[in-house]
Amino acid sequence: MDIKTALRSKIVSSWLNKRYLSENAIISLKTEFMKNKPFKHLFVKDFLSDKMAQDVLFALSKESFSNKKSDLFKFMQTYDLIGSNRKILSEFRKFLCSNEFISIMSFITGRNPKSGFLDMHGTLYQDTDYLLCHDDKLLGRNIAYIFYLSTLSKKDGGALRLYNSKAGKPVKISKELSPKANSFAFFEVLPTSFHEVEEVRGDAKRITINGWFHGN
Amino acid sequence: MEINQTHINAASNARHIFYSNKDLPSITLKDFLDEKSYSALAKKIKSLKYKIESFPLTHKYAVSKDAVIMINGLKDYLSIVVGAKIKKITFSSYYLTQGDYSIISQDALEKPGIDLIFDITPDWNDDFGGNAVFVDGSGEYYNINSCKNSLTIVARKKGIYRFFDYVNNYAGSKKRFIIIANAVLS
Repeated sequence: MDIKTALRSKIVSSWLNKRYLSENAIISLKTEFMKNKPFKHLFVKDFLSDKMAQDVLFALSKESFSNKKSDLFKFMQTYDLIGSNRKILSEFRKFLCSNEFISIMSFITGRNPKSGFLDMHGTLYQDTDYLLCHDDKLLGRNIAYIFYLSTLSKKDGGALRLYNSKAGKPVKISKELSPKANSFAFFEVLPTSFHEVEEVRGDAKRITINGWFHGN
Repeated sequence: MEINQTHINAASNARHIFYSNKDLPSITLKDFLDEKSYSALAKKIKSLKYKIESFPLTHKYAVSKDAVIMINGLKDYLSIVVGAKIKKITFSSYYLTQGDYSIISQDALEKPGIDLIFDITPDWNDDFGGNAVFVDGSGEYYNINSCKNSLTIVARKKGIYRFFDYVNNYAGSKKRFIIIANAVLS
């Protein structure tokens, strides 16, 4: 599906922030995605309208979160939200994995995520929670995404940290992206897309809906 | 350096406790060394040369490998507790600070064996992290409740692995000193 058609569709125009409903805006996003280092990624501010983002956050706050801990991470998470019976979360998921939005993601990234295939969890990081360095590489994962529902300052921690790499191994943190409410970040899943979530400190709550678009 | 006499006297009892946990034979022995020996060990550990290693996918900590640590009667004591003759013990000393950790890596899985964990840190709160944690293939976690001058003996079977959990910001500038030793059976 071409970008113009995707942007004019009911599902995209009712979800995506008006500022992105033009071909030029999407082309700018693509340009930025392609040039970003240490690997291609994008951080899209004001992804939805403020009201939509607040409605999504409110619905997510009603979901059940459980503790997740391993050698690699410590945080709280919901089950896959495909099972949510909250209308707005179900509609949000439909939007993200719609043909129309997938076409936009495909145009920006040059990749081929499949419509209808999406992992989607609510994740909550609180004081001392973290996710250590890894590459997300698992069969089928094509593009990783994070929709931020809270804002954290530098002192709160919780930044998404991207590593540069050499000979297939992460070397050092090259970029830090602090969470900003109603922002949508995404990157290609590659053997070298090494990243981590910085430890959260104090009373801050890092709330996201995140997961992966799937494809070849 | 000397093992606390109360432990030597109770070695056979320690063996019963060790094997009472069938999933992960283990025992933690508090005040393992006598006071003078512990102070000497703590001093020695802090004087070792440490190399800071930072490999984000596997670990970040400081280590002094092949540390020479002489504890009188340790091999014999261990032989009684595990019920098998100990041929050799090799020691590595670690210190962990805020942000340090290790991750179980498929590329560097340790063989089954007898692990010894000496905790040489006064004033540490386990909530800071830096704990030696064991995990099996089903995701069952076994935390080691170590403390200053404790020795934990673990029979790490096939499919059980060890890692240091992440040291969080509450550790501040404190360092957690831990000696990990591997006992080789005859």
